[in-house]
Amino acid sequence: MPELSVVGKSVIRKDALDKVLGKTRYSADIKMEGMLYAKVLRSTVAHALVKKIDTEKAKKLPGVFAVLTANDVPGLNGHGIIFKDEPVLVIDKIRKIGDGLALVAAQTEEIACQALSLIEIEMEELPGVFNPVEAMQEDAPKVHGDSNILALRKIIRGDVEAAFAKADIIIENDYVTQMQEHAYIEPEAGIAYMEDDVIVIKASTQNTHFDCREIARNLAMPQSRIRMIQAPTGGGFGGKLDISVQIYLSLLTWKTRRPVKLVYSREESVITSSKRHPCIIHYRTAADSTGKLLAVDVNVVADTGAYSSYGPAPITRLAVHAAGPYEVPNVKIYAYTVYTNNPTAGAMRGFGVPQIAFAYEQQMDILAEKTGISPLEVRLRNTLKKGSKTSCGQKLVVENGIENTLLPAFEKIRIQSEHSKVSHKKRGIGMGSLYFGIGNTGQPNPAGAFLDVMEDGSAHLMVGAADIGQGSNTILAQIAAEELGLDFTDIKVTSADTGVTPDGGASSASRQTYISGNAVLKAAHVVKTMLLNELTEWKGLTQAEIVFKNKMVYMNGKETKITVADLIARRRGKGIMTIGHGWYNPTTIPLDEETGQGEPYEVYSFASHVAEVEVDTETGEVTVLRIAAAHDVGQAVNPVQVQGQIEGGTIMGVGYGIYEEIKTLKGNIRTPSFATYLIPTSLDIPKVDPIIVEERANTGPFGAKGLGEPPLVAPAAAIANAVANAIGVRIYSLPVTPEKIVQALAEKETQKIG
Amino acid sequence: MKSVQIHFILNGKEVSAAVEPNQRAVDFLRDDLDLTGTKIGCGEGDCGACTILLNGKTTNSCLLLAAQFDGTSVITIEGLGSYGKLDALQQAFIDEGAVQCGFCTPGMLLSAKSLLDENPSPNRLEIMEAISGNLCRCTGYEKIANAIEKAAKK
Amino acid sequence: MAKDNVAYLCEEGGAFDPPKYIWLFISLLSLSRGPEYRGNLPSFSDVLLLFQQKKLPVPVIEHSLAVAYTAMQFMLWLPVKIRGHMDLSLLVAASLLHDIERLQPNHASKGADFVCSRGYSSLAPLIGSHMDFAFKRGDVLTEAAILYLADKTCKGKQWVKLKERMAESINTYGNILEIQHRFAAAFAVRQAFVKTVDPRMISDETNFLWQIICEEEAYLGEM
Repeated sequence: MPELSVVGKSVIRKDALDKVLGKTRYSADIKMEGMLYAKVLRSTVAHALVKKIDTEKAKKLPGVFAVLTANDVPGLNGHGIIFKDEPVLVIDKIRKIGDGLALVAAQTEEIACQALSLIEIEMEELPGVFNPVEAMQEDAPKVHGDSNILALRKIIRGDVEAAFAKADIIIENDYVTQMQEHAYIEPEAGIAYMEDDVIVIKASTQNTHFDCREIARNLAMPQSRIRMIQAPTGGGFGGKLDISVQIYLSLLTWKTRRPVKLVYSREESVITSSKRHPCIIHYRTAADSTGKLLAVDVNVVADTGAYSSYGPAPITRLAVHAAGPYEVPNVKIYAYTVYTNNPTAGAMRGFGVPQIAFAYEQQMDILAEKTGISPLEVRLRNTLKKGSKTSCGQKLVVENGIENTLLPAFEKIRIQSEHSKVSHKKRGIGMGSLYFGIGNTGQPNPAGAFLDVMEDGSAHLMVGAADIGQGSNTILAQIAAEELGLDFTDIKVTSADTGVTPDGGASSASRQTYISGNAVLKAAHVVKTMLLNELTEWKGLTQAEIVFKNKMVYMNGKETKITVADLIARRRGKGIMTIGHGWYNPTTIPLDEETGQGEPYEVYSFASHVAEVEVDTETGEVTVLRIAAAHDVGQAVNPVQVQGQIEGGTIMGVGYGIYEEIKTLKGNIRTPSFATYLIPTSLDIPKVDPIIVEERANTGPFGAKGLGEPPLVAPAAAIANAVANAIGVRIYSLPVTPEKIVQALAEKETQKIG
Repeated sequence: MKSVQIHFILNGKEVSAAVEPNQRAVDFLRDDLDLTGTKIGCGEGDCGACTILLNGKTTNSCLLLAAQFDGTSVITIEGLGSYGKLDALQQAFIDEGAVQCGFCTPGMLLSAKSLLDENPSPNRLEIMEAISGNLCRCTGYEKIANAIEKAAKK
Repeated sequence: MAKDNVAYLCEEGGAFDPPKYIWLFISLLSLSRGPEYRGNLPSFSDVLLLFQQKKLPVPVIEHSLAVAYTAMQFMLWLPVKIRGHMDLSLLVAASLLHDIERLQPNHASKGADFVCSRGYSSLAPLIGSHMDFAFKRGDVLTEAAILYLADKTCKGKQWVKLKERMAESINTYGNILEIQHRFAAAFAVRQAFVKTVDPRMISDETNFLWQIICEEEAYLGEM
């Protein structure tokens, strides 16, 4: 493998300068002359039939330019990532609190708010259903159609019943996980305006081309007349994939012919955006007395709320990963996605795997206890490895199993662990391991790239991949720079603009480095071939090993006097344009409907977290002291950015483990602000030791895989195991709160006495 | 609504302006003065994205009325540095990889500035305390603290 | 000399790529740092430092790593009930250091003295007995017995059948009776060990080693 000169280096990211100066214009910072302000009238009940929406009074208010309802939607009145089951504006039925009923565009925000209060709604409230298990019953109120079961994903392999019959050890438990909120610091916002006959929308989003397709369908317009541009986005984490402001803004600007701006309040953001699926998991594990896994039987009910958002996908991914990073010859996994009148659940970093990891990793620790071997050994004994078959029957193409990540993480923690100095505070160590498939599960999800290389050696890279803070613009430029020997700082990246860039797919599924990275590599390769041809024509070379590095041409390892720019200029001089394009779609086999067998991903990453906690047995408070987070990323394109993803994701996982919970009551979010929904502050965090492991993927750009989500999958599991190790009782629901610990300790005491 | 006259020092320059009595300081900065570096993350004083320095002290400008600027000295992110003349903190944030989505960055920088002005050699805990009112969802705070440490050593 | 610097052995591109089992050693020895551990064992870095200080030649280091790996595998094959009374970290540490005084005559007892002088006295009995081990039918398997067997199983860093090893000794030294007497303990340990192993604990990767321990034909094996 030739030495890399740009990839693998922690180059400074391109947008850092403007961000530290406060110059970056996020959606809410954009101003245009004559712009109007939009507001949305939202339902305050969870389930109701709408009889009438009277906007006459509102329309007459001075300063109001438009009041729109469902009747004003020219095309399909529906949107959604997979199924178009969410109305743009409610026609007849409200399904959750926060459903959009009407839109107002006015001269000022105050007037817009006033107008909202003048809109009259006549409705008939319906009984709602707020518990997913109840929702599955025949007689439950129906949210859509005649069944609340949106999807059932089954994965069946081998003979689970026979395995359980002869198992030495059977472990059966129920696990419950909570609704988590993305809590990006920038609330949704956008601005839209007309430019000739094109609607231009700039908004905070993770997937511009999806937005464009939805708007086109709703406005009955061709996609080419809708230009969706991603404004600099203040975090997404999966919460800015669904439509938020985009269609509203398009409708309003199209109707008024004026620029229109819409900025969500924090409360509006929490109430309307999708959440992580809360899950009820029933997990049965069968093993022999040496700790070798024989079978798992898993039943999951996931509450997807009022609309489908990502549909069956998150819970499909959950099912695919339900057995953990372990070889289990017999599996039976039934995972239900169920509609209720609760807030919508959709994509959130980890996409179903954090939930199931909380379950399967505790099962592994219980297995270790029952067999008398250590948690480390039980995992090493069962790890998936080269040639293993997964639950879906896919043969793994990896060199190593979880030992590559688990052992370094374990050593990092054990070597510095100390006794607690206070008698009522107990310390414990726990681990959480995972494997994670990169890309959309068993579905096509391509990305494209355009590359225009100028004769002075600078280049323009156009990719659909949305940079939401993770730094995709930077690493994609690094990949192009490496392949063509260009200067990284001379590559200008334009991203996520449907008027300029090809579709990059969503910035989700940890897929951009791998998929857009490969697309960029292909585009760069097209240009590289042109330059190699020029070299051949010019110098008559054929067999020499050519590498482009640091702007120079290297032949057989030695630097020549030829610059890359020379070759570009010569080609262009002959009238050959040095432009490249490429696209990439991972090869997968969709999962069989009945058995879930298939090849859902082209590449997988392993990861392990080991956590050390201290539990105050008097108050139940858990302090996470340290987490060692080891991640196999294939090839770290930008090591500092990789560390940043690991650190940030781990802290989000700590929040998931011990602090965060969206509490709802009859579909009403009781915790819609940062005061009530607690995300970790700088004083709430453990020391995170990121460990980068590089097991190069044959199919990734320079061996890179993906990273965005794995750091969030493991922490809650590792913390739960560490707590059990510290105090001898296990918590089976998230988040692991002081109240739960105090209660569990009290119950243990009662059992001892009784 | 009658307008209120205010007179104050903003990023080192004298400013006179008319504001509404109920106008928030953050809106005055962003809408009237087009200083959009100060962000609105929650509007309730919980996230710190709207942090400014009021007479040297960190303040949530979403909880402040514009009228309260009168007679004070205010620093926003725009006053911390400019192209070609970055504050040591800003350079450190860039170098240490402390910027991801960047939305919390202006508030973080001002909280850090307030800390270093008062305590030029803070330890790690003091740094974490100083930024505990600024929420970040992307970075996990680690590299932000590293950057502040690095800037302190300059 | 570059070869005396053992650290480079475990770095990428060194004498050999860091085998997986190095990580296992590191973890097992860091277990001895945890709050519950009562003894005092060196960490893996401590071991490497000792190798360096003693200027141990590369073949001896490779042999020590091989013996530690083999001993570890042996213990992991034992049923959990029996293993529960044993100390895997102790065994690995003792195996890594069993030949620390290889360059001296009487290296077994010199080795025991050496580890005592460094504060690792729990290793001394295992190291002291690894050349001249007393074991007969009916004796209980201990960490010391496993180290002894592992050492006999590794010729350099290759696995070798006991019979083959005995045959070689006879070829070299010629004194059949004395050598047979010496190997009696080894065969007794081997027999006790093979009887105790739980075959379900033997993974596919280590099956080859198992064949060497329990099969009869003379056959040289490599790790």
